[in-house]
Amino acid sequence: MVQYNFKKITVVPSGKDFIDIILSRTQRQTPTVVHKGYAISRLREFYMRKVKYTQQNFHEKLSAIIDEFPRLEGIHPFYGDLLHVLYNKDHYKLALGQVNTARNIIGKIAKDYVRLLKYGDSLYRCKSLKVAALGRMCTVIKRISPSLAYLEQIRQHMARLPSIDPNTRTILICGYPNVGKSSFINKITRADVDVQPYAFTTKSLFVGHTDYKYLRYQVIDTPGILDRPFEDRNIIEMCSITALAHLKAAVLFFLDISGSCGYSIAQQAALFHSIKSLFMNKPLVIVCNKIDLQPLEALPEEDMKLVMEMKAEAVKSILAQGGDSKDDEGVLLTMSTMTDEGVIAVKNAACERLLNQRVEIKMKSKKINDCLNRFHVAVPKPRDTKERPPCIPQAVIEARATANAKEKRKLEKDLEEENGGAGVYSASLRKHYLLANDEWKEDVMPEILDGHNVYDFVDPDILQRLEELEQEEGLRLEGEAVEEDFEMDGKELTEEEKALLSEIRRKKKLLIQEHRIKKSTAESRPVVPRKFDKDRKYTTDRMGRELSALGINPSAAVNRARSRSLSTRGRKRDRSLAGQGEDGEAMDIDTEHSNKKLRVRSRSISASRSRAIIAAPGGFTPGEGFRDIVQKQQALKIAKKSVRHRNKAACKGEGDRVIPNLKPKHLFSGKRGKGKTTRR
Amino acid sequence: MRLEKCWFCSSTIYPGHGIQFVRNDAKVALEKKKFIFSLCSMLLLAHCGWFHVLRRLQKLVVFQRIVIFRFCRSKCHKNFKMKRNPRKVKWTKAYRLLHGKDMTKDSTFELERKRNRPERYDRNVTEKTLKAIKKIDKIRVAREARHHAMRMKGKKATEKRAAVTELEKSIDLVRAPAALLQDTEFAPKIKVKVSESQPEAERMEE
Repeated sequence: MVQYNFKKITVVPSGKDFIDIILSRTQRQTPTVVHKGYAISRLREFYMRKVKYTQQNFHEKLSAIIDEFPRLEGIHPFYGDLLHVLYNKDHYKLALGQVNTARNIIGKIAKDYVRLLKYGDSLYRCKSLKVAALGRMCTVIKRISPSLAYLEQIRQHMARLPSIDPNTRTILICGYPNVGKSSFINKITRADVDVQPYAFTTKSLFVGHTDYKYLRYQVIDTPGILDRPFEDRNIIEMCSITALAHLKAAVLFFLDISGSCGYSIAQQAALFHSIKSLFMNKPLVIVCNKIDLQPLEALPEEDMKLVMEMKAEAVKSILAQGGDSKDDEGVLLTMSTMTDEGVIAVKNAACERLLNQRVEIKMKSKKINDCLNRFHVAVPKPRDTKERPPCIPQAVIEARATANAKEKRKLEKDLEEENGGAGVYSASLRKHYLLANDEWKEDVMPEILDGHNVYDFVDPDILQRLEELEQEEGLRLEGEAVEEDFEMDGKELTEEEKALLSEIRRKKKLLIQEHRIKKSTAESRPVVPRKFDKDRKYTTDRMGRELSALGINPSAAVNRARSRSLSTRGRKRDRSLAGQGEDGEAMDIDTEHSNKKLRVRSRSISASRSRAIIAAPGGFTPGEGFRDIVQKQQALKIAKKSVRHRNKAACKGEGDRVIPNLKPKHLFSGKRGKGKTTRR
Repeated sequence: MRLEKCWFCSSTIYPGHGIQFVRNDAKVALEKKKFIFSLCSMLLLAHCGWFHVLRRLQKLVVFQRIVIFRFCRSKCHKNFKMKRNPRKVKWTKAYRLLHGKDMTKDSTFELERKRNRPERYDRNVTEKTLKAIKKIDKIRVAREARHHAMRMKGKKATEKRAAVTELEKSIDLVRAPAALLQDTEFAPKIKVKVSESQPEAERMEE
């Protein structure tokens, strides 16, 4: 609803921009990829979609334009006329009509081309059809681009029109140019209208608001009107004429009696008479401005006569409204905007007259009857002339007298003020406590003790109950002292047995731990053959120790193990070779010999091998950091030694670690009382 | 200023700690659900002169109270939001009381009761009360310890029996069967005050 506010009309793009917008939107919002290998129905659909989409967009935007621009018949005649005056009704309608036809034409184009596209038989054909359709639509828009530009101009101008409410209380100011209309409106409202010495400073209507008797009045400043025949008036004057014609308002006709506007009183009077038809049914006030330059009384005869004629006319308008012909103070007023003399009087007179007129109209209208029926002011009629004053009881009168006579007692407020004011002094709330003993007033009682609320325990006979409780407790303790809780000590364990038990438990724990480690690292633990035994688990010494811990003599087992070891017997293949080397009787002869040979052989090999490894690397070069070759060999030996243990466990290097237990229990368990375990 | 109890774990909430939760519908908790008496029936009874009956019955009437859920820490709050029942969550007081782990019925609890009528301040009474609180605490703690001891009473015997069976069953982890067959003398590795240990040679018969 574009009632008085034309600011909400969307921007009308120019022809070129319009085309750009729509085409780029089509480009973006519809699928873009198509190949000639697609099914023909798909191709057709692709191009039809584009055509339809473009048409829809055009339709939308053009419809928006048509809907948002106001229809001149549908708005208040004041605005209708104003728009006609400013923009020429016919031109406006033509422009909108062109937009409408463009919309229809585009619709038709789209329909035709979609129909043709349905029978397109190749990608190229469909594409050219689409290009043609879009091209024609764009041409249509290009043809109406002047209309679009015109509409955009209008829109911009309309947005800046003053928001005048044609139905509310309005005061119109009219008169010749330069008589002081804009100065007046500047004085009584917050409007800031240009005031300049040249004529037609104000080129359009300006609105200000002012208050009178708690009501808001619109004050409309019009451009000056010259005395010309109606047909010769220009647009600016026509604005004010329109306002005068359509707005039901109080009219202030401004008269410059000093003549400093450049026009004589005769000319102004002539203007008045020519437009007095427009003042029909409107409260008219004739305002003589600039009396600081020329007081009204000092006017020459002819001018005075003219002024009186105008006044007479104005009085007629009062009569038409049903007022008193004697009631003519509010008709002709004098003021000066320069000295502010009489400005308020003028405003008040105008507002008063307007208000009265509106109230009268309302009273005469039918609607008022609904309201009137609901009011009734009842005035009781006095039945006789007896005086009946209000009745005040004697006691109250006496009380009042004594209250006034008595001194005011000291209030807490006074006390507070004495002692430093609100922020400094805090009133003692305990002063008026009613306690058994007044010394207790300032006592501080603890509310909490040892995790209990003291108030829960407070009880006048708490002592007695406590005594009972203690008695109970005493009895119970005696009772318990009597009954012994004897444990069944039938099956006590001896010291040795206890030691054994702890041994068992320790071993079980170890087993479980080992198993857990094995289980958790099974995937990442390399399986190392027994001969690389880094922890020296598989030695006969250890076996001997374990067996004697179990209580058996280990010597036999140890000897047997040692006699069958690799170092004493040699490897199986060497044994068999040795056996074959000596034909046949190898088994009987000198098994020890062959054993020894093998033993020596195996040992000597290992020794020579070790020597070779250490001495081999490139000898001694001076820049390496060693003193001499001996030191170098020592260093290499230490290095080898440090790596041996790791290698035996088949680890790749330092970083090849296994953490058997990622969440050791002792770090992750443990109770708290009431706190939190957010960190460990 | 009052110390409250956490709705979930029943620990005390000191001022400045925890979170309180009030439902939008201010759900009411019903107490003393013996008789639900409507207002008119009460009035009727009163009118008929059955005042003493009414008095008795009033005690059984439902009192509706609004429950405010208070939590001592976010642990309890989060458990509540997960809709866990405190009676089933092991570490709460509710569970412990329900399952008899802690003392429930005792006369010491009766001395501490929330009174809705404030008493006029009396210095002597307050002094006595403060002293009494301490004594009551002591008694209560002693009783709780006794309760715990009663609970754990049969434990020693069971432990001993368990130890004996364990020893019998798992003896082969620390003693070879062969060694066991020789009487009951064990290896001298154990440092135990035994009488003269027999020399090794004698024992190793193999």
